[in-house]
Amino acid sequence: MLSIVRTGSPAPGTDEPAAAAERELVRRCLARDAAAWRTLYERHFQRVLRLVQALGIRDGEADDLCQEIFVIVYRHLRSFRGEARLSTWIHRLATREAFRHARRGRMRRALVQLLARERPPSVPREWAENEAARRQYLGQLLERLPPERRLALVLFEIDGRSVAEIAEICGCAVNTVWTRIHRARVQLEQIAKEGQG
Amino acid sequence: VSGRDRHAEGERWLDGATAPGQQALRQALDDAAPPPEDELARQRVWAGVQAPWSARRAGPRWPLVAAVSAAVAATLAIVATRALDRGPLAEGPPALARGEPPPMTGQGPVTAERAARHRLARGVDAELAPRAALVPGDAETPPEVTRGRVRFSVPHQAPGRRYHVRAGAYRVVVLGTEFDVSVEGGAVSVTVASGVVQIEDASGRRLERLAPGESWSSSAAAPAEPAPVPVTPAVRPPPAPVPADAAEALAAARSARNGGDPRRALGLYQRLVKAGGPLAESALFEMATIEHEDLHDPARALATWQRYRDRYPRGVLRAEADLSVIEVLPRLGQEARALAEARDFLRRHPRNERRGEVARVGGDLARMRGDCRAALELYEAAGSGPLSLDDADDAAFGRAACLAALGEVGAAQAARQYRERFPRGRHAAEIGRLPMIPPP
Repeated sequence: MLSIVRTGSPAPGTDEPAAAAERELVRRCLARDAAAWRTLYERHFQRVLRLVQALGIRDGEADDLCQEIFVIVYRHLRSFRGEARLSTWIHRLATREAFRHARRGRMRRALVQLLARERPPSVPREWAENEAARRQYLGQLLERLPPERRLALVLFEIDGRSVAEIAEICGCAVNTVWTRIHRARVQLEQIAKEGQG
Repeated sequence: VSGRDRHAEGERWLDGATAPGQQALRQALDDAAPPPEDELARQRVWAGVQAPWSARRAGPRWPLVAAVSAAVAATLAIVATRALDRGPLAEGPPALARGEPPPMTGQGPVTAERAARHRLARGVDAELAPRAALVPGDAETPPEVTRGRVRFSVPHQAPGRRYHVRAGAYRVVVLGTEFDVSVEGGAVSVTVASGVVQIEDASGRRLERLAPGESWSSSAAAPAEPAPVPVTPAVRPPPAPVPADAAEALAAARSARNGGDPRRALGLYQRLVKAGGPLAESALFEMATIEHEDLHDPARALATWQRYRDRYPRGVLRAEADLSVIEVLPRLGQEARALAEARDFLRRHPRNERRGEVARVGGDLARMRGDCRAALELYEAAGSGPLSLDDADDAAFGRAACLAALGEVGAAQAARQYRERFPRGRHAAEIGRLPMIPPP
């Protein structure tokens, strides 16, 4: 039987020194300790950036969004109660903001696609020989996925992360991640099939 | 059998697929890899978040406030950190040694018949190969290689201050490094000796990142190959011809922007500008707005707003363009120029409804530069214009802080006035930490 597990929350009594260290780090950040804030940033930046990139947000836009996310993290630090790991808490905030941002962009693109009566991306003829064509095709397919599914699929299929890790990053249950991966796959297979016809 | 079960058995999704689309997808997933750690992004983002306690809350307020405050906060943090380290207070390269000539600046090209070495602004050394030509620029304007090969040695720049060199249609973005830039017959090439540089096109899109020993050439990069990233932007419809009627073209440009295609909108506005006529002025202004808001390229937007001001010195959007310039300059690390622009704005638009806010921003910029006298004047000017509650709070605090820094007797009274007016103000805790200010 599969149980719904919320990952990322430390089991009571385990890893207490790490949790205490995190609470101390947060306390110092709230006291405007620049070194503590830098430590928090360095620990979490790359993962937040990858989360944003996995949603197809890149370069300057990704930098801006990461900046927004860390400012939001700071503003909400006071509400961190230490009930979950700090990384889990930050990733949940980051995911929420990144999804919000990605949805706005996706809605605009969806309207353009609708208005232009765009056909689903077609399989490039030279796909077997041309890596750039395959990369472009993959990008076009991923554009069609809702952010939640896209993130789960990219982290699983491209980054090779475990479902438990993805659940921690997304702040959701392991079962939810499996569902998102499954639905993303079904949707991609469907789009790929339409593109062949 | 579910995907989860198949995964548990070591089977991969689409392994053994026979349809070409699915095979191509599986192969593309196998090709793709997570991008490597991005050191430049890490530093860029850090420059914007290093003092989040000074950042303002996002809201409906004028974006100028947030931009300038972030820059002020970042720079104050840098100054504070350096003060703690007992290092030099000035931002940028170390001060010139006694007897060292001032850096070469200027907007005209410098050519060298024989190899020559020059010190440029921000502590950068440029070694020109014979017959190379270089526009040295200044502290605010980057140098440009117009011909031949130039080797740059760039010292470490303050966090968030990017140094770049222009070459043809490209920008070479640097973080403390040594590299050669060559321009020959329109082709640009870059070779890195140490550190990391990034090649960008004019819109700021990253084309390549180079490590020591690596080279890049625009002639090799010229064929239209997709960007080297695992995902690509949305497919855009091919650019439509500009409709003969200008009003129709304007509507098409607006629609392209609203439809999420700013580059197409930019092209349409560009054609309207070229065509001249009554819509050219607003089209030029719109171009800058798109470059700033949609393409996130403040340098390009700044150049376009400048173009607007040159072409329409008394244009109907002149005040808006001036405000936008003040907004964008601190983002480019050009605080001194932003302060000068704020002063110009107050002279040029004495009745503008935003003059109070601009004066407050000018005050912050002057205080950040350590000029408390000038800041005081600007904060007081801010108080005489219409002001939002937050700006009034900031101006009142800034005034008290400047008086305290100058050792003026009015500091305690200014602090008392601040506390009376803003008992739960944005600086209520901070004001008690100023010198000469008694506890409440």
